[in-house]
Amino acid sequence: MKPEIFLFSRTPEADYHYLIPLPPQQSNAVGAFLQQRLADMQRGQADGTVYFFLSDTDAVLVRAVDSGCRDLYARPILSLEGLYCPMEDVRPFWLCLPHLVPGFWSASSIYTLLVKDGKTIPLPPARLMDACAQYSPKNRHAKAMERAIFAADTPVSFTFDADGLHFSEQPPTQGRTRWQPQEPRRCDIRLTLDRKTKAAWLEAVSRGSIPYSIARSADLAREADGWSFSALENAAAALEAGLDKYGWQYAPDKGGNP
Amino acid sequence: MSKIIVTAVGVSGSGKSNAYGAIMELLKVRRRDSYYLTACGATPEERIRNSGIINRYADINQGFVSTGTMITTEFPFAFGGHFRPDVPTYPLLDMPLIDYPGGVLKTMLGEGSEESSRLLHRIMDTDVLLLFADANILSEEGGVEPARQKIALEINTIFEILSTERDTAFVSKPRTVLLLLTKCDSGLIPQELKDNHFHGLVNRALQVFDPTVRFCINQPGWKIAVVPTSTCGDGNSNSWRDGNGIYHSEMTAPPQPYGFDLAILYGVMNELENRVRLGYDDSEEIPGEIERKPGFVSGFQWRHILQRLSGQENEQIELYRQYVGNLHSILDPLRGSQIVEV
Ligand SMILES: Nc1nc2c(ncn2[C@@H]2O[C@H](COP(=O)(O)OP(=O)(O)O)[C@@H](O)[C@H]2O)c(=O)[nH]1
Ligand SMILES: [Mg+2]
Repeated sequence: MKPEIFLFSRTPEADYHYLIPLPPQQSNAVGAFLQQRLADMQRGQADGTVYFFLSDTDAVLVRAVDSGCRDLYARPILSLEGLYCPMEDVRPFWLCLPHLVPGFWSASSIYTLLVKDGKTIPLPPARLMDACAQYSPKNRHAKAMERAIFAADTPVSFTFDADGLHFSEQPPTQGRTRWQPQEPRRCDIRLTLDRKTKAAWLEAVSRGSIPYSIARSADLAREADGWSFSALENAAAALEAGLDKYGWQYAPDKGGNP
Repeated sequence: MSKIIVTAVGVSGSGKSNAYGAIMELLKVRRRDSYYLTACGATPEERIRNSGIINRYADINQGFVSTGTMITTEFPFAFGGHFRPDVPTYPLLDMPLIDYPGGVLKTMLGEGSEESSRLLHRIMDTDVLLLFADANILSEEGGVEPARQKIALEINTIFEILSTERDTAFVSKPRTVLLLLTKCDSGLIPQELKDNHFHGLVNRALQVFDPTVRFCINQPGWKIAVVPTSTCGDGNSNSWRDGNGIYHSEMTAPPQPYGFDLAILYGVMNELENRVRLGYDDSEEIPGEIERKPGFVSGFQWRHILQRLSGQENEQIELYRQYVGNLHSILDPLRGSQIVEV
């Protein structure tokens, strides 16, 4: 996955501009959306609210914050910072968001990581994402966010602030505007038997070319003559019953997801 | 309506955004000698909407505006004066003002951008050019050369290039350049630069902007003047420079801005005088059917010719003449003190 970091801010000397620009293939919708964020920032709105904005061809995750630094006239330096994601990576990016967004919201501005002595220094996006992933579980809205994101059938625009996640009722300019709650998504349940550690577990995974894990049972210990069928069955039933709350459904006869 | 183009140019931190707040206070709220700025627009709806846009921006009554400028903001202003009962109460000219991030100037000399080329074209079209020179920087110990590097490099370069353009449109139209000394309230200005209506500071500013100043003096019909200004007014601020060389300013009393209104009025006066002298009024669009041969006459001369031919100009020109007369009566007594013509 290749999201890229971008940064609109200033150094003490040079006035505001894109210190780290977005890649040239950015869509007009994303450009217009960011222009709107800049207008808000000009009016002094830089409270760190995280925006996820999705166009038909790409997506951005962005927030405006006070960088904590000051310019040569002691004016606070604000920073519009975030990640740009091209179309082909939107889906995996979307699934990362529960680990990324709450931490991104709580962490301080990345300006000081990116700008030193008036010059920008490269930062691998993975570093930013890892740092956020460490903060994320501490956010009290992280769990609810995870559920909502995994339940949403397709990526949609949203904001994230002190009150947690808000799917956009009316996202601005040309974004993907509607989030329609879908019928539960269908998944498989896989059994893994590990002969080395003598453990078995059941795992619910999404259908599709890159299955990802939705929920996993506890390890089941091997008994003398192998694994007890009823124990496995019970674990599968428990797993299946738990899927509902993530918005998933085990439906072996029904084929893949739309 | 006719239009006058006023463009403010200055590096980041030179005081442009605060100047817009001061201009609003001086001409929109206080209305010096009945001259005013108001929202422009073809319909009442548009004017009301524009008025909302203007009011949401820089308000210096809360202290210095200290959000840096991130995006270009246009103030849809119209300018007028009701200095005699028989002049119309409605505005005379559209006067859109634009605040842009000072960094655009740097961009122009570096990688360039859509925004920087828009600014350059606006400078080339401008009737009145306001150049911002920060009095704090002019007062720094190093004197002329370091100050030139900090605040005048870009504008001097732009003038050097424009003055040697093959296309003479820029130099052939008479223009007014105002060198605004900003932050003249600052306690960091040494007394010897302040004495005698900022005589020392004015001279330093002229040296710092030397190539530009010399160019303006040498152009027939061009005018250049220096105006000391302040957003907050003398005695209403506390300014200091900390150990890291960072400038701090606090407003300590309600603002009493000065200078900016005079600069605008002086610019308008000269531009209207030019229009009267040349019999030119830019309200009429060039008719589409008549083809203009590029390079033959400038757009400016062309409009002039067309208007002469159509004989329509008289009424508007007559109004311009009245404005010019009244503006002279207001501004002439201030020459040499609050407006220093070069
Ligand atoms: N003392 C004083 N300080 C000023 C004045 N105008 C601006 N400043 C200071 O200069 C800083 C930069 O001004 P600003 O208008 O934002 O500059 P811009 O970057 O050119 O738009 C402000 O934050 C103030 O601290 C003034 O008239 N007097
Ligand atoms: Mg500004």
